[in-house]
Amino acid sequence: MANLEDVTILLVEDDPGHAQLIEKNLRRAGITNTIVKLDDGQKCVDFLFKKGEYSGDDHRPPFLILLDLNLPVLLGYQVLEAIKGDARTKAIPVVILTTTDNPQEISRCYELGCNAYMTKPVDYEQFSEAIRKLALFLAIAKVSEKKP
Amino acid sequence: MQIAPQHLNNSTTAVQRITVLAIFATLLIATVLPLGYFLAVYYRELGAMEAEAKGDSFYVSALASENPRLWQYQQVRLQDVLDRRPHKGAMESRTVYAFDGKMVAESRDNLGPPLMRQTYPVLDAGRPVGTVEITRSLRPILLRTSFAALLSLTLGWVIFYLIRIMPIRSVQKAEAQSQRYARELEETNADLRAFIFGIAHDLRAPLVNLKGFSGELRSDLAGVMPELRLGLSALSEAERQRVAAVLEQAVPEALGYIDASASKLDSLVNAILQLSRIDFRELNLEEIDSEALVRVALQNFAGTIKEKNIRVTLGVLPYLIADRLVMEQSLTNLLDNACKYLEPGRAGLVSITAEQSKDAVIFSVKDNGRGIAADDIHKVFEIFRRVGQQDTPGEGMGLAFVKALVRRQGGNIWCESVLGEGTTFCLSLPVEGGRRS
Repeated sequence: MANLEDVTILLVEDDPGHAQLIEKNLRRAGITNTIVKLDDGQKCVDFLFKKGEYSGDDHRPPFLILLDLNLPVLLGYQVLEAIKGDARTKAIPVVILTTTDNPQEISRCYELGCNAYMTKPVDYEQFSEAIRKLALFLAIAKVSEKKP
Repeated sequence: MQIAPQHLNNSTTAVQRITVLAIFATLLIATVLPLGYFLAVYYRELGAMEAEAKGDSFYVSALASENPRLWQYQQVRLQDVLDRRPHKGAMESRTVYAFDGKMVAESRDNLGPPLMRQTYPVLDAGRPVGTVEITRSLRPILLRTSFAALLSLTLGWVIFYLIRIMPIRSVQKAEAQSQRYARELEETNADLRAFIFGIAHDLRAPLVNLKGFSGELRSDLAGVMPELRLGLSALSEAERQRVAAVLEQAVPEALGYIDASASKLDSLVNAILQLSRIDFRELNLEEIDSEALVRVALQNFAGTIKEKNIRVTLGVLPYLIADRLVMEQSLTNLLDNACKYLEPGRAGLVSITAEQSKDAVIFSVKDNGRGIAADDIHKVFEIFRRVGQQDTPGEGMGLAFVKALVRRQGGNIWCESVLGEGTTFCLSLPVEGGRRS
């Protein structure tokens, strides 16, 4: 039986460097949750709906999804569409975390129902700061989820 | 593309003119030619008939002179005269009438209407005593005339084809072709823009890693530095110096270079993204008081203007329909350049004027600064290109950006300059707001 306290964060990111930088900065900001890292969009959908290589898995749905947009196999917005279009996963908060700051892309993500959109800053200090803020947001969100 | 409608208008009026001309020429040929032919043939026929009538009247007159009282009753001789016809002559009726209009003799062919008549008097000692009348059918002439009309119509059509249809067709063909080229060019351009935008974007992901991991490395190194320093004390002096040189000099220096290059690349990528985003942006056209806009823009340089003691003059600047962002950014950029590249040691003069034509406003920003060499002038609008002395900060991005902005609104920008004397940047914008198909 899975530990109820073990709330996981799903990180969908095809660039291993980015994934590691995000994880490092989350850890540094005090996030201790398990971070499940997936490197393509199809894997994310399979993981969430327990299909394909994840069929028969009994993991709990993640507490939060950090989603990149430029992903192999299934693009980020297709994954977002799948998540927000299914009653089972609709409630999971999705934070888009990508290098794109194209206004059209941003508004498309919000139309599809993403909960937050963050641009990865190229500058390292800004990057760390952005992840730190995200961690802060996670801490607040976690508290409010535990309440009821 | 903004010139296309006018160009189309021109060719439409040209087509209309040619059409009118062609119709006129065709109608002229189709009516005048058969009519002229008919008249010519008709009068020739009348002439021929008159000659025949005259010949007959000569013989009848001789009979009348011979026997002035009884000539009318000499039926056999009269019939003989009237029956005497030229070989292969036309179908006709010949009749002799007495002076009182009574028919005296007649030689009749079967004639279909309409008829044409010609008479000649019969004279007895110079006194008219009767007439000879020749009647012919108009049918053969009308038949020939209708044949001529048919020919004229064909000729008219050929002429209409030659002066209206053929040239217009080739013009339309050329027009369609140039439109196709324009479309292809636009598509290629769009592809290229999307391609550049994509590449610039893709360059960002590795940059995040470059900057991120050099930052990680630096903070990791800083984190273990105290322990390293402690460990160094166990080494010999020479070893300690070598390790210290690597840890405290070479590594930070290398990280510094990696970081600076990544930053430089990042700013280039950002500039390209900024530039290509102009093309994806929708224009917001509104009425703009360009004088107010310039005054606000000048406030950004109030410090520089005061510090360098620059004299700024404004001409009469009009209202126009334009995109505010395009105007603000482009004029601010030109003013910035004018204030930035002044000749040191010469009192700065910057003037902003505008000239309005029927469909465009041309803004001129003129300075008495250091100027641009003739060899360099074509490079000023190129991206990342900076000309002249590199003593002022800048990305070499401004004018490429301004050009893209202005062209987005269907305008144009150009520059005139004399090295050492000053530069004038001219910016034309359509009065009614630019549109780009």
